[in-house]
Amino acid sequence: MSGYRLPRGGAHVERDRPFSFRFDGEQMHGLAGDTLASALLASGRVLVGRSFKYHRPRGVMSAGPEEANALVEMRAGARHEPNTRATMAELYEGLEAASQNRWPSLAFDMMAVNDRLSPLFSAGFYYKTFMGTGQATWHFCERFIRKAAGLGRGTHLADPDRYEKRNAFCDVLVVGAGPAGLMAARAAAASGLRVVLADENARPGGRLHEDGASLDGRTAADWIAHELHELERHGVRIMPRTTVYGYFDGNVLGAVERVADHKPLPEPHEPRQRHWTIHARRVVLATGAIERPLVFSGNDAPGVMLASAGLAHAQRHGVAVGRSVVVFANNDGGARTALALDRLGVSIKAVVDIRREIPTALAAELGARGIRLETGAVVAATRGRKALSGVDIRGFDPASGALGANIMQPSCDALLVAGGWTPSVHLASQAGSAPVYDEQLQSFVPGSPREAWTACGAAAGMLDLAACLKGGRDAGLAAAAACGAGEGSLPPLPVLEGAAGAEHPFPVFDVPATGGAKRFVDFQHDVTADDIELSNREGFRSVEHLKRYTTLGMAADQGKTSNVNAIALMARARGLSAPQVGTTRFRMPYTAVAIGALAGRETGHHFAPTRRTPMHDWHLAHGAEMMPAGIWMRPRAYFRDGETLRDAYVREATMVREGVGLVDVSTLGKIDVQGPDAAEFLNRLYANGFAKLPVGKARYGVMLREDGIMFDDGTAWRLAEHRFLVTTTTANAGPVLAHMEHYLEVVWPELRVHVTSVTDRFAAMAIAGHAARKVLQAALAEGDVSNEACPHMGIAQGRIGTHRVMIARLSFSGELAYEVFCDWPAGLAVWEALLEAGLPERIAPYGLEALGTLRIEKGHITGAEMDGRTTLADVGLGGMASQRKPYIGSAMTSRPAFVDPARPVMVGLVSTDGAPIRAGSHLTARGGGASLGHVTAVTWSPALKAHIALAFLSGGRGRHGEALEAAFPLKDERVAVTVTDPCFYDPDGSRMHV
Amino acid sequence: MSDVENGAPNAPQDADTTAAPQAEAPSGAAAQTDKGTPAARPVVGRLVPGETAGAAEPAILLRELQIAAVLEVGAWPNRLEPVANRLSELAGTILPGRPGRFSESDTALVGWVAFGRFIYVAASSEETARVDEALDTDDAAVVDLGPARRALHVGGSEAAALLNKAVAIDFDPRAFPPGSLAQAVIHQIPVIILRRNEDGFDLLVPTSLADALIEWLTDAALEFGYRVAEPVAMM
Repeated sequence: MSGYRLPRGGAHVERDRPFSFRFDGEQMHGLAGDTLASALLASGRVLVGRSFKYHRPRGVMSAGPEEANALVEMRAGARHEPNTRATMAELYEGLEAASQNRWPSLAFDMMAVNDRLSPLFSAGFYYKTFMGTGQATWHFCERFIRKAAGLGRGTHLADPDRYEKRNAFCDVLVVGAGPAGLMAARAAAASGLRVVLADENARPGGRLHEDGASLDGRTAADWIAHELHELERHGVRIMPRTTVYGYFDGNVLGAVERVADHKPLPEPHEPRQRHWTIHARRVVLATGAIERPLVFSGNDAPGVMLASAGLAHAQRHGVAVGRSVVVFANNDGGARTALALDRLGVSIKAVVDIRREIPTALAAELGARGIRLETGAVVAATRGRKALSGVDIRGFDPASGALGANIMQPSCDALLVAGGWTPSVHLASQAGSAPVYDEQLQSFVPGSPREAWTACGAAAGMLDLAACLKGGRDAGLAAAAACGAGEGSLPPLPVLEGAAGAEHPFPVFDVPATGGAKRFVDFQHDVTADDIELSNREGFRSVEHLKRYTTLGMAADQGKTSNVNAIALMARARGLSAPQVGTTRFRMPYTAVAIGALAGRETGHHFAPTRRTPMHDWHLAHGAEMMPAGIWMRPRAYFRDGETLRDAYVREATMVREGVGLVDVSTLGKIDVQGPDAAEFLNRLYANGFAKLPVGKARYGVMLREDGIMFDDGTAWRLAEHRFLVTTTTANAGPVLAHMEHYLEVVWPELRVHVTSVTDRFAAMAIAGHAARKVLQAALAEGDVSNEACPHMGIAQGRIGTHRVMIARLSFSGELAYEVFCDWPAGLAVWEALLEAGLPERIAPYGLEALGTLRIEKGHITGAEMDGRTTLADVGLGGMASQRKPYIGSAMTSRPAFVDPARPVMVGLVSTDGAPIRAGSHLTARGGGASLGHVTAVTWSPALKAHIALAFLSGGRGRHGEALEAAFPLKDERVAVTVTDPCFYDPDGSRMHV
Repeated sequence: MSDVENGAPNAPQDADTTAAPQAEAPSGAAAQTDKGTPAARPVVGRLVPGETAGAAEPAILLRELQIAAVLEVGAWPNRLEPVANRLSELAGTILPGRPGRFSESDTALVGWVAFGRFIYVAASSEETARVDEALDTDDAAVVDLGPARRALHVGGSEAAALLNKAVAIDFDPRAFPPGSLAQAVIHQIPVIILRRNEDGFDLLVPTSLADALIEWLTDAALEFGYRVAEPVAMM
């Protein structure tokens, strides 16, 4: 037992609301307002985790977001979450947590053998060991290495909770609700602006509780409550538990609100977390500072903690981190912390300060309180492996950096370390120049802004409270002024009493090693001072190389407690100053962001919308199996009792060939092309001619890309002199519209043409088969589709029931066929009317499988053939291209590669051994050899009673009749095929010209 | 057909050699049934008047708006002013002075969507022919989008918060006052957002995606609670 609950105090905890929780299965107790870390400390728990690489025992080292050691797995089952910082996890009744990265138990971890073998595992170990051993060795060892390293285990179960995303807008965003942030928000809100105040902690106030000052005669807690009340009165949106993790271009910031992480379960309909995209005109960065550890032998022992954390646990949670505490510092913060803790009833054994002298007032007060002070001394080593049991205090010469004589070796169960303050410059660095070194702080402060922000408070290096408050207010005023707001009625700055001054460190961060013990710099990635020296010796001297070679600062904590010490050590090793070594830039996120928060509701079914035709529900009610086509859902086949997919589509395709069928083609892209220059526009767009298309006729057309490759095909119906209806493939509806708009806006702005998507304007269906005319005419209450009135490619107007229809005689199946367009909401009524009219002809609907079979039998192309590599000539449509006009892509159509006689061109294939051909197969000579081409589409053809395919074959037009093989090596399949013309069925088109 | 892979369309899994055209399934995704797989389960997407769901004390009101006529008018660049004037006459209101705004009379609403591009919403379906006839081909193109759009009203105290889940537009009444119009994308669905008063927003939605948008809205509104009101005429 080490830490314990103090009899009094704790600004955040409610002593009359005890919570019970479990850690590694052991029942423990805490209070409402505790963090998991403070509750563990209050329960006397010292050992809470194992380190990343060496599996060393670790305890809580902080009280905030910088925690590098106390990482735990939280919750059970599908809500299981690894690597949670115990210092940021709020306690709730029934919380379940477990230590991680240990086996079989936290106390006895087999993998701790890594620590004994550590000389093998220095920086660059993997590369040095495995480079040159060959892939096989690495792959064998990798399994074990991956298992040994890493921290918590994730779960493969789907997360049952909701995550939401939202945008927020404000004039001024203040990040951080410490004293500077509170003042900034207050100043900005005074002029009536929209202000958002976000803080990553559950409670605003920052480190004000630990300062010990009174403000306007109020305690810190009272003053914070008063300020929050004022902010609310001014309409400031206060967002606790909201971490602003990223600063993006355009003054847009990313934040994650932990809405329900502090509850056993989210309330009904409540998200667990919410991602905020905050659009701010101005930003005030009041992100505070993080205390630095000192580097000495055994500085990672459980029980060694930041001094600020020791004080925070006492002030906020009423927890003493130990029964016998030693403080070790290079600045006034050590003595101050010791005095503050002593006043709170924590037993302080000694203060060890690297400096020869400390301010006399502090020394006198320590003396008055009976706290032993050792100046010019260091903690040279710690004792105790799973829990701190004592420290070795020795003299120290800061000039030479050498250790002096043994002073004492007291026993203790907590060591508080104060190494100076590191401003949290993460957001400033993401949206500004590189941080700038500050000699007084021995650390980096924000550089110059690239976005509209101002830094203030400890984040800007203002360490004393008066400067923080004034800096915050000035930053808030500046932000308001930049938003064009006048000054409101500003409250005066609070009158301070008993405020601590700035704690500027003496420039010594490390103590020489004793007894070969490790001196840790980066606790989360187990990087030691020796690793940094090794990196220097091996030539990885730039901070960027140092970081990648040792992985320092690359753990989830982004080196919050380690970067500055590492730079100081590298600077000394290289004989440079810290600013000469420089600092690495920070990337977002400031702290880890759950993928769930980034995904929001866009998971599973909600990943994309479902687009439905007006006949969707009818299809489902009539046995259709639907398949996605982009975001559309289309019927694949309509199943009757006992039918397999093959039974169903063979029946449907046969029905079209022998009678009549109906297919929903509402998903076709439809574009209204209108204007005095519409015909000229289409004439330039399509490879074939459109200028002379008569009104009342439709034409098949192919568009090329600028490089002469086929882009899309479809039809254009000339509805009036200046009006066309263009259809595109389902997949290319959007791209074709964008292509048209691009040419109208950018290339030919002189053309008076307006294009509008009318895909959702018209429901569409195709009726196909030799009985199509008879059925359609029977359904028409008005209109004539006889061969004379509506010849091939003709357009007819009519009425089915009360619904106007527009009919074009077009065929994709090769049978006599009509496309029937009507108003979208009338789609179902027209569909049902056609089916009813077709009853005597035994009409039935057909789906995509039958449609595909019919078009393959005819050698008609789709996206499988227009795959972005093929030309008109490749698919046998070279004759379509106009020789009399230029069109998009025409300049490129006779490129040498396009007229190469060996170029693959479209052919048909028939399986000669009765086996199915697999799409994607490559064509080879019988018996194998180099690929001569590939298969794009395959089917079993009911009309031919054979497995057939479309393929691209080098020099294919001269190879009809050749015997080849369609090879699919991944499945070890070879099918004997014969090359044919790609139009397998009714090559003279007699069936549709009736 | 689980092994239809990108670039290998129509690959048969067994003897059921089939031929779903690749152009119709651009993702190259494996076929999924509308029943079995969660990715393709049927969308509910219906607004049932009187229904309430989600958090208690609903802060969102949803209702379908009936629209009689919706037209898109594209004016040629040199005919902008005559067309704007003609539309003002037809609608019985003064056309707003810039894109992103609309104005309305009792019978028609005319909005300036983008340069040279207007939207015209009217109470009577006869307006479609009237507008078409009133504008000459040499002035503008007129497209009847009535059957291509549905209209939804999203109201209540959290209406802006609900839309801000998807839309990065500042809906504060000072930034987006009544009379404002915006084109936006919600759940990959293009919509036109009209703010006709401070209490809510009217959305014009492509017909084929309206059910999907309703499905999204009703899901997103759960945390605020929502109530579905009876449909009313938009104008």
